Amino acid sequence: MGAVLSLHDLMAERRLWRGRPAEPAGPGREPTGHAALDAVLPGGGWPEGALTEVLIPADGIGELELLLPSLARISRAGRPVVWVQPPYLPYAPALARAGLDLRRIWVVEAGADQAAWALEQCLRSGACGAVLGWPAGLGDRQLRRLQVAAETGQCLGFLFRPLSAARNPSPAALRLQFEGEGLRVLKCRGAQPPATPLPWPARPLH
Amino acid sequence: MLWAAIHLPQRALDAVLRRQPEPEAPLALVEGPPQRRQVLLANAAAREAGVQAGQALTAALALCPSLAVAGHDAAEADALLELACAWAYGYSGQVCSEPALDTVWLEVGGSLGLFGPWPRFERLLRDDLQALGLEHRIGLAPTPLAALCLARHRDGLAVTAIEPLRQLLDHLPIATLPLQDATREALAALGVRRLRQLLALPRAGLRRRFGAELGQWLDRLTGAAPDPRPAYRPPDRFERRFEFDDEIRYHTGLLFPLRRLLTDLAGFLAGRDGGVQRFHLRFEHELQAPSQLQVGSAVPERDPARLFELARLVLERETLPAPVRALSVCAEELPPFVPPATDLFDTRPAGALDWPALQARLQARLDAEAVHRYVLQPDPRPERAMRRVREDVPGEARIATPLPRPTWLLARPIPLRGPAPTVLAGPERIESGWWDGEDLRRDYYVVRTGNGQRAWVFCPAGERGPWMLHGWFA
Repeated sequence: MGAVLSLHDLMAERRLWRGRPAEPAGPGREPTGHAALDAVLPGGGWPEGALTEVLIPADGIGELELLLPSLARISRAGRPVVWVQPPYLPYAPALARAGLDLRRIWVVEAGADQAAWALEQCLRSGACGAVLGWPAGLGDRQLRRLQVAAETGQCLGFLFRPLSAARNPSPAALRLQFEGEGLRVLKCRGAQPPATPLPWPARPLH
Repeated sequence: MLWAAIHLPQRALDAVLRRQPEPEAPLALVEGPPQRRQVLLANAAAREAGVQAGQALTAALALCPSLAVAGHDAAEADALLELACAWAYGYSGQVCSEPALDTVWLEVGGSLGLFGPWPRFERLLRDDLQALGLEHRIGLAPTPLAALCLARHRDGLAVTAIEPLRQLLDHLPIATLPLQDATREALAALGVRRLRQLLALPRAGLRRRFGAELGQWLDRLTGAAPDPRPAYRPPDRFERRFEFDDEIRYHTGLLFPLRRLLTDLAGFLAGRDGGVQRFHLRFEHELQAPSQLQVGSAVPERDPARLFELARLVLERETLPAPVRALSVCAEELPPFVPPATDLFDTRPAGALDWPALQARLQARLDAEAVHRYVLQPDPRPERAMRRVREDVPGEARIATPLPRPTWLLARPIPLRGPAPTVLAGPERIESGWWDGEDLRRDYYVVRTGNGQRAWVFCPAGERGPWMLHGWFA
């Protein structure tokens, strides 16, 4: 042990698990906008400067609903939100209804082979508030690259992946999985994931 | 008025050296008929080996077998002088040049307040000239010709007032003056060695021997007569060409010349205080029409590294249709450049880009259309309720949609497969567009599929199926 590490820094970086649930912190810097989810996440919100994986059984299951409050907050703060290679057209009237500032919502149609490059550029640049990606067939190395890029750019990165990806480990700081009527936290850096899925209420229509 | 003369004694050679990946290797510029080629100029390495101006090429090659040889191209040398003018224009509003004297003058009396005092200004000029790859001599004097004479006499001489200038001029040898060879020889034959002797000669006699020009030249030199010169005016477009000795087959070979051309472009832009938003790379091929690529950015840029990166990304995206003989960079639109405002206490990580720069980078590699956003359109038809744009549009519509809309829209509706869904809401009838031939009459429903997805489906008005899927409430 050559280096002297400050315990406080390690705690702040959430690399240590303290063995007992952390005392409920104040509101996080990047709240998800869903009170139940904020309550179980360490830091009270999305992990900053890190990847979040959302594992979905099918499109249209509520994956955007999960993000809309955060995206509305980020876009209204004037920071760009970039959608890299979305599977469908993000429908602007619905996004505007959900309170997003459409002037900050950018879509990058990179094509399947350039999507990972575009994702990394956006994450790394530090220009974006949040980056959403729908990458196909990412390997462990590429995921790690993206995670490092998100750390470098201090940016919220969201990857939407199929359920089958849950079997493989991932460097993402937070992994959420849609499961029937609930939302299961598979992994969250800095805390023990709750044993039971969060009830995910029937959502209002946008 | 205070004039700085920048004498470029070997600009023809510099123009060739700038193209060489290794400017230190011995190189000579030759001219003359093929049988009797003579060395015109040689660079430092060649001179060290004994190569001199006026030598026969065969003799030079015997002295230095590794000597590279290039033909003299007056147009290229003039283009370099033009570049030097464009660069000098960044330091002074009054710039003039004379190709016959290989010199660029800039009026620095007005610029000293900003760049001065003169020793610091001179260092700035020299650093830039070094970066441009120009061998130079600098002189400073109240008249342009005197500045040139001082620069030719000894590099770095500076005089700011007329009186000391006269004293200094008196001592200049006739041999270093920019006069015609015949005049210089005739003066030497008269026994005139120094300028003092020439100035002391009676003017009437001088006029008889040499014509009126020499007397006028002396008056302009000493400041007794004005010396009006046409001022340099920067062109409204930039075009620079780079010709290769061999064909270039892969784009990696184009990167070095490209960087050189874009550095020139950035220097030109800095002189105009402009930026560039769009420029073309033009490739000339053997036996084939030239091809060209466009490089664009979201906001005007003029940082050479940024420009190079954008151009490189575009170059890497495309494959060269054929080996390249020459590359040129051409910029037509030169909008004003507004440097980005940054926060003094910027906490963003080092190397961070702003959004326009990131957008430009993505567009350079992918395609200009690949990065876009949506604006709302006042049209009830779901497909036409938004429109994609690439930059900000004035007066963006804010349209409130009263009824639920899906967050995902399918670009083209498809039949909804699977077991019969449960209807959650609807119908919402959308009937519109009879005026432009794309009319539709549909009943939209919100349904839940067997997987738990919520879908936005429609069927022809008044019916209940078959369902067409048009969006997901994700």
